[in-house]
This record gives sequence, structure tokens and C-alpha cells, in this order.
Amino acid sequence: MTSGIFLSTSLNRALSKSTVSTTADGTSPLEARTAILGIIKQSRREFLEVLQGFDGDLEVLEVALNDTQDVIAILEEAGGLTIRARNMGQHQDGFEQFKEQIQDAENGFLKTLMKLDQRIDLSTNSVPVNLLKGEALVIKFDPAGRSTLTTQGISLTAESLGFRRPDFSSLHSIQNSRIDVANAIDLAVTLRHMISSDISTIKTRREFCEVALSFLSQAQDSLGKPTSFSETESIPDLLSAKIFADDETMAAEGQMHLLHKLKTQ
Amino acid sequence: MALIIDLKPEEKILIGSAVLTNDKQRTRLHISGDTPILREKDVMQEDEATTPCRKVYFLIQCMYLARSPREYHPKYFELLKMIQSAIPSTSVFFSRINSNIVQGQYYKALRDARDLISHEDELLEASGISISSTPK
Repeated sequence: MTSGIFLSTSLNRALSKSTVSTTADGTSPLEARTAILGIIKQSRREFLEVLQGFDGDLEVLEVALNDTQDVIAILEEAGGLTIRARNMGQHQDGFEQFKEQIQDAENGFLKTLMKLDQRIDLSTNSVPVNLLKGEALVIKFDPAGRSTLTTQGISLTAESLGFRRPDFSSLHSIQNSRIDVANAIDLAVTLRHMISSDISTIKTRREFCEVALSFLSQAQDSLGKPTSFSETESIPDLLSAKIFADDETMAAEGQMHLLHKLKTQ
Repeated sequence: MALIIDLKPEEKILIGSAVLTNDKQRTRLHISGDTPILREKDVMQEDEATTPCRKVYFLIQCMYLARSPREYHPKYFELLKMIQSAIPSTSVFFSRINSNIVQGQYYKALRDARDLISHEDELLEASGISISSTPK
């Protein structure tokens, strides 16, 4: 069996830099082939580990996104109660005339705050990290955890959000509750944006990881088989192969513009 | 920790989406934060991407500069497939490049892509193909 591998000094350097322990040191093409296979196997293991981590991380983020959406709906419900109470209170003698209804709104407001806390507690049972309780999710992009992305949660419990005890006995005190709701919604929306952005990052990297893994598998298959071809013989075909359409530019307009600015005059 | 870059007189550097041109003396920059940084000497223009592995470098450079690197992934993988089928030994370089891309470490991925280009250059030379017209 021939190796087919072209042993360049760059390849030798790359093989010697590798942390993979192989019996081959890359001094001959056949040994290089064994060393390359060792590196590919190690990379596959690492990509698989990262991918598995992504699955768990995405579950945490997607549960949190769904929960944040529910929290926003609950807060909007609370906000609706303050508006209803305010509208009734704005009538002449409104607080007297609609006393019972305003009291109902105040009770309803308290109940929605309890519902809010219950909703947040619910996620604790289903995922290991509850971002809505201010916990942080550390997403690893390599098995050693040297490269990470941290999604820092925000506690959205009624207490953490600083809700004052509702008091719908005057327009001024109703307004206080409205302000509390508006501030809480702002925080919940901020958390939703952060989670959405991190989901998008993880999905993009997961997709990349999956394709990269499939190419590693292909490389492992191809290097594992006996071969009669030589890399020095196949390079001319690669050079003459049509890679992209003639009129197709690789860079998008934004990047092209930036690169032109860097062009040496 | 801040990144320290020494700029030669009149050297250009890209930081984020801005290009800075040094004046007539040497300058030392201390840069903190997470934004693309490319020195003039590391930049490859599209018309310089004359070989498959140089195209790989160029596409990684575009991913580094793009707000949404994902748009470059299909072309990158198309290229990777062709190169790896013809030159299986490149899988060593691609495994490192891909690992750095997954980690968002595009600067390191570019450094690995330079090794890939060196490998390609040596292969071209061994095959008797002139690379004089292909800038490094």
C-alpha cells in the first residue's frame, strides 16, 4: 500500500505540534498517514463532545426563551389590571363608585405576581440552569472549556424585580404599580433578546460543527483505505477544477468594502 | 489582557469596521475587547486568492469580518470538500481551522490557514507547478 500523502515541512510541523499520541512521528509518508488518522479521530471525539454539550445548552436556552415569553405575558396581564383600575379611578368618585372592581383588580394583580413566581419555579424542575432566576449558563466551544460563551440570566421573580406591594387606593399608588410592571417588562425583554442572540450563535456553531464532523468522517474513511493515488498527481486537477461560478465573488459587499479600504496604495 | 500591536509608519490596521492608518512614526496600540483586528500584512484581497487554499484563507477572513459569518459557510465547505478529496493530508489543517472557527477564534483559524497555504505551496512546487504568480 502506498501512502499517497505528500509530506511537506508544513505538514510535518503540524503533526509534531499535535497533542495526539501516535506511534508514528510523521517522518515517512506511511507514518504520517497513521499520525493524521490519529489526529482526525481525536478531532472527531472533540467535535462530538462539543456537539453533545450544544444539545443540552440549547435545551436550557429554548426553555428559558419560552419561559421569558410566558413571563412577559403574565407581566402584561398585571399591567392590564393597573390600567383597568386607573381608568375606573379616573372617573369622578371612581374610587367610591368602583370600589369592589378596583379591589378585585388589586387582588388580581397580587395573584399575577404569585403566578409569575410559580412560572419561574416551573423551569427549575426541567432544566439544570434557570436563567430566569439569575443563574448563568456557560456554553463550551471546546472540550477543555478554554473558549466559552456565558449567558447571564436575570432574576425575574417578583421580589428580584422590586415589585412594591400593590395598593390601588389612589391614582398615584396605581401608577407606582404600573411603573413596576413597565420596568419588569423591560428586564424580561432584555433577557429575551440575550437568549435569542445566544440561541442563534449556538445554532450556527452547531450546524458548522456537524458539517465539519462529517468531513472528518470522510477524511478518516478515505485515509483508512489502501490507495494508489498521489497528492502530487491530484493537485493539478484541483487547480483546474471550477470551484465557483466565474462571475461569482466570494466576499459580500460589506466585507469587500472593508478589504478595499485596506488595499495598499 | 490588552492586545499590543506595533505599527510601522503608514501601516494600516483594521479594527472592527474601521481602518486606521498610522502616521509617519512607529506607534504602539493597546487594544482591549472582542472585535476583528487585521493587520495590512495579513490581509488577502480577493484577486490574490488564486489557489484553492488561498480561497480558504480569504473566506475565513470574510467570516472574521462579517457580522453573520454563517453566510460564508456553504462556500467554505464546498471548497473544503474539493480540497480534502484531492489532498487528504489537508484534513490535519482543516481539523484545526474548524475547531478554531467553532470557538469563534478566527484570528487563530487564519494562522492555521497560512500553514495550509504553505502545505499547498510545497505540494505545487513538488508537482512542478509554478506558484510565482500566486501571492502569499
